Amino acid sequence: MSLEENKAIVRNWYEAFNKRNLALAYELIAPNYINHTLQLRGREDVKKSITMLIKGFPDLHTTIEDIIAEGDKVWTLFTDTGTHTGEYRGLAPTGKKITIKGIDISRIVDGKFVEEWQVSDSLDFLKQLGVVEYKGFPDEVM
Amino acid sequence: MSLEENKDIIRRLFEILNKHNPALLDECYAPDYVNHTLQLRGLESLKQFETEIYKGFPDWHETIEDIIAEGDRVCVRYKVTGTNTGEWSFSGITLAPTGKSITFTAVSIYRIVDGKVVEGWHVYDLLDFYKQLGVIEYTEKGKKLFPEG
Repeated sequence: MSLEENKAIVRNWYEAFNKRNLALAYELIAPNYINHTLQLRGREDVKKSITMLIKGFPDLHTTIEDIIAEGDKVWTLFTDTGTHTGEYRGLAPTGKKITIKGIDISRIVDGKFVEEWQVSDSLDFLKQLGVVEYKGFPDEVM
Repeated sequence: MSLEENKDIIRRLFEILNKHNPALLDECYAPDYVNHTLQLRGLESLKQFETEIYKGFPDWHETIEDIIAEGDRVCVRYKVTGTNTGEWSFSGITLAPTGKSITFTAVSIYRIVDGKVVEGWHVYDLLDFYKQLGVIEYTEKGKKLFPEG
């Protein structure tokens, strides 16, 4: 597959996710998929993870800021926005609007996601949810 | 420049960063370099930032784990390790050493023009960084969310 075809698959995934066309999104995940960062193995793990996320943030939306490919890898710089109106991992809804910036590194084989790594600013995410606090550390530094 | 030449510039950049000598950064960065994430404009502000990091973490080390290039951009995933044995300043505030060791993952996207880095976008996993420094902790709500700490 060409670099542009691999990028198109990644764009299709985010579009399907944003439109909540989840059947199509899951179809793009290879059965032997591995997410090294979130420790997910296979399509079922992806479904569980996405279900939990959408329950907590029903309006969660991903915007692609940049997308770069080489070989079988596609790197996507993204911004997620959403509102915490549902229960998330046992955390009662706070009603807060959140923004998460991150990068997904996806390995695409035969048109499907087989492997992923993710780096996201999780501190910023948890600060917005109000679940972390600083001990003797000036707030403005963060 | 070819994609491989651009990747070599970034590999060289990481070698230089690990030498902790900001004067050497001229070799890889354009003078008007912009770091969009940390809001640093110009190579001089980057040098000041790096100098503070090396004071706070004299063994600060960045190891490349993955690198790709397309067009004028190079993307790198890397692991940062270090020990906070010195005082360091950030945003005009000086922080006392904690003695703690840190390790976290980061990703950077660099734009290269004529062999020099002109722009950078970065994502740092600062949750891991600050948790390991012991300067943040979970609130009661957070402890419920992450019982494993």
